Amino acid sequence: MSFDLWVLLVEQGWGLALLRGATVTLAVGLLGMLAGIIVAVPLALLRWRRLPILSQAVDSYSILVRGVPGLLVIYLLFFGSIEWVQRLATAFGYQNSADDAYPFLIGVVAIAAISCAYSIEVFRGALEAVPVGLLEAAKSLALPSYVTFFRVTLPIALRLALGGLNNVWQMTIKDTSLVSVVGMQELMRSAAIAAGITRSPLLFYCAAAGMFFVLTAVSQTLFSRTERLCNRGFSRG
Amino acid sequence: MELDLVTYAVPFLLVGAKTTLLISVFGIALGLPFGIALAVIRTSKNRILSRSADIYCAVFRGTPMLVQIFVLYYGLGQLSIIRNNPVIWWIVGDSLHAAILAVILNTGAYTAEIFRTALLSLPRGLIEASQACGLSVWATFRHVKFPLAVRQALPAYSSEVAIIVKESSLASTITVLEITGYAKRLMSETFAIMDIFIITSAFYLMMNVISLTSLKLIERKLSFGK
Amino acid sequence: MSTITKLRSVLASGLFLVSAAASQAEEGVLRIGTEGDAPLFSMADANGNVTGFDADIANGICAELKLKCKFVVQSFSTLVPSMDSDRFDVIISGLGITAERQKKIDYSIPYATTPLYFVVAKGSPVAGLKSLDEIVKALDGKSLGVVTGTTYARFIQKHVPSADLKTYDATTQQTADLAAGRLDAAFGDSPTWADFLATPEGAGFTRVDVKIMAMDDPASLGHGMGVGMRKGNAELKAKLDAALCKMISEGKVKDASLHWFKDDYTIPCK
Repeated sequence: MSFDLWVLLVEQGWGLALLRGATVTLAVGLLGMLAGIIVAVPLALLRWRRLPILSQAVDSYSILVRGVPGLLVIYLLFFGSIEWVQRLATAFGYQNSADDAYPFLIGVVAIAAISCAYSIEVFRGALEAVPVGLLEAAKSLALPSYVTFFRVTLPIALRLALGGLNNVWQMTIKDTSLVSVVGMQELMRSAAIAAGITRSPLLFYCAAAGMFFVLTAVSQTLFSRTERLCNRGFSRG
Repeated sequence: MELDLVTYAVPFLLVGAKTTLLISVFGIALGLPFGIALAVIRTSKNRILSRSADIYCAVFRGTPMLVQIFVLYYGLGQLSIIRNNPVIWWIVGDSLHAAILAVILNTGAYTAEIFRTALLSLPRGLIEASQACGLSVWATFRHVKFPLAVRQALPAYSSEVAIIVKESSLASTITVLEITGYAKRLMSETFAIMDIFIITSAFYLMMNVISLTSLKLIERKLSFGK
Repeated sequence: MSTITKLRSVLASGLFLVSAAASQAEEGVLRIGTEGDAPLFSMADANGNVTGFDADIANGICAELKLKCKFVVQSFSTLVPSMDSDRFDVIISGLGITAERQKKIDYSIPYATTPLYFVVAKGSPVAGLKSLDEIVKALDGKSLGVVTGTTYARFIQKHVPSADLKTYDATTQQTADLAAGRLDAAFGDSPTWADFLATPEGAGFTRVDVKIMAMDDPASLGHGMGVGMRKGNAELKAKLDAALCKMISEGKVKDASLHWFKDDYTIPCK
């Protein structure tokens, strides 16, 4: 058995293939999450201030993206747009680089669009959970509204949002498996190929699960550290 | 042609929707209390209990649900000890039961994380006040901590409900004929991949709009006095 | 269904652009879409190189056309939409020729077909049966596994409607469930079973001696495997047909089939 493992993972190189897949997964996941958060913060603020029309628009976006399977988001983005991009790239003479870079780009955009929808909800929930008393206290000190926002509301909201963001990240890193439909060999797709060819599905799916677990365990530790850092001065209940 | 496709596909998908609903309802009804219990254990003072609950959540949140469902169904199915135990085989031998179990185990871990954060974010003063009033630990939880935590947790939990409905589609990988299971058959039959996919997504969207809107109403109802 | 109409028009305009852009693909390269995780047919190794029967056919075609083969490995279900989006020029992935698929894509002439068999546990009453009719009767209400998205699934849905049909995403899952005892019977192609019956898990199972060929029911099983390409490229089709016909007549397809399957699955070129 251990001999078989050695042959499969090292001599036939499937271990390396999985690692390569894990790199793609991590890259798409990190970039997608980051882009998602950058867009989500202002959208959550719009929603929080209940700006007419804009906040309804944010709501519809969030419900739509959270309501349909992630696969559809990436299908529509990819198959609905590739012709235009390719034509544009060809016009500027970048045919081949567009061919290779485009799936990655669309992968990141699709993952970002999904993680963004979830992050909006997290930030909104956090903003609304900031204790009113604190805001009233700030008002009674006659703090200008932007000071109140940047020095009181935002720091507390970010602290409250951490747990939810952690959840979104855990989901996002696993959602990256969707990008395999645009031909990228991320972790789950590498595992599926290895499972099919070597006929050892259990081994390779467990190996992939193990790698996912390492990725999330490391990020989990980082999140807990940050959480502890943010909770200085708040005793645990 | 397109209308033909829709009228052909919808009856199949409706049958599948019943199964999707069944998996989701069981997943939520059993996964929510399980998750809340896990959250309480994780915030408890007993180190061994809270550590084991931490590890459980880390494992189930840290690995893809597809793998969990595969291991539960195909993996355990390879072991003869499991196949010979009638009770366990009733659960993992049947694809629908295995799918429901996988959803419960998975959503429990996510729900626990949501409620744990909510419990930790409660104002310390309120809890001290209820202790000062002489409330028991249970009464503090029941009348002070829990109602406040629910309010804080609801936005994130509504996302989790939408995720459960969508993740239940993974049941199709272990032969359960829910919405996605029928969609895959329809795609292989008609080869109209994009069209079937959009009709299928409309089904999920409808179910999720209903659940998200009702949760939003509950959220609004609970946030009176804010 | 305005969304569908809308999407259709987006796709249609896309298709139009693609056919205009197709000639702009890299000179001297034939881009081939293949699934990469189908044992013996299309196997991508750890470095992304593709081997197997499909790869041999592809390399043979490229040699005939004096082009360089470039493989793009994607899951089977995304091959057709990806070809529509000009990710590659042709699909060589054991793709069965069926009337439904012909509405979406064009095919070369068929080059091979695999015989299909039922597999059951040794000692099952089905094991000794001699005709499809008897098997259909015996499987009434029994669970029967088949891989979804295949022409085999269509065949079963049509001929064995009374069985409790279980559909799988991959052959490995189908055989795993068969081995776990969750299935009364399974249906698939000859290479799959040769492979499975040779494993320790497959020891307790046997092939029912009723050979089913694509020609038995072309309406659901299709007309054998062909090379798929985007609609309306008569020039490419003519080139591919000529190359395939030459390979078939020279026995190259037979050699590849014998090498991978220990059996000749070639369909003669008319």
